[in-house]
Amino acid sequence: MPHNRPISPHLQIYKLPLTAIISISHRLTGVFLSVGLIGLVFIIWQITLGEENFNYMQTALHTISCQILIIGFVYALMFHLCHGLRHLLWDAGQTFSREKLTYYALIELVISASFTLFFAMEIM
Amino acid sequence: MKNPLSKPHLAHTHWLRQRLSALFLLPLSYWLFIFAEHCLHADYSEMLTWLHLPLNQYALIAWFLLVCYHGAIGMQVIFEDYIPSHRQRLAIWTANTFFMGLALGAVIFLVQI
Repeated sequence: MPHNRPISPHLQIYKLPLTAIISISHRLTGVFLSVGLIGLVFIIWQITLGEENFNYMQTALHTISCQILIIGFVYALMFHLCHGLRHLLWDAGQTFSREKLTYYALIELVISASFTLFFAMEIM
Repeated sequence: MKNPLSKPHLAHTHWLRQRLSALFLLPLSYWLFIFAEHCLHADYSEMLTWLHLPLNQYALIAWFLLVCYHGAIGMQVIFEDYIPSHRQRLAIWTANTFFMGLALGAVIFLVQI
């Protein structure tokens, strides 16, 4: 087979549409959330160890680096949840038209950002 | 877990299990947020009282079991897409062990509390 045939544009020079960015973010947030599970199990472990450990952990959770991680986890979870819901809609054969794809992608971003903001203001 | 790409009917089961676990996880996420709120603001006795209510305890256990299952399936799909076949099995095995360890840890701790 000749090697000088034209090839399709590479990922590096192809401007990804919003829907493609959302799609890969779904995977990335999934991986991030999986890693975050280690932290959650660690928290539960600290609770089993007694009051002193719990108080120490609670203080640690209020440091700025932990707060950033928690907000990141909540945003990733909400985004993954919203996009997951849309996968379920797709499985039901809905929202496949081009305009709807971008429209729902924006809705996902707005909902996950709003919920994270709500969480940060009410619960943090 | 067998490679679902090798047998079409396994791929369907794989797909279905991922969707079903997602469906069950949707309402269970509520408990995770309440748990997070308690971790940040409740004192130790309030935390224990909340965790000792069977509904909360079982919901959290179910969330951890399902989330680890959902994560293992998802990670397998990612590895199948990006990792060459000779290293794929090892990667999938590692991910499965990781999630199984986490699920086991979470359940043991939650039952202990």
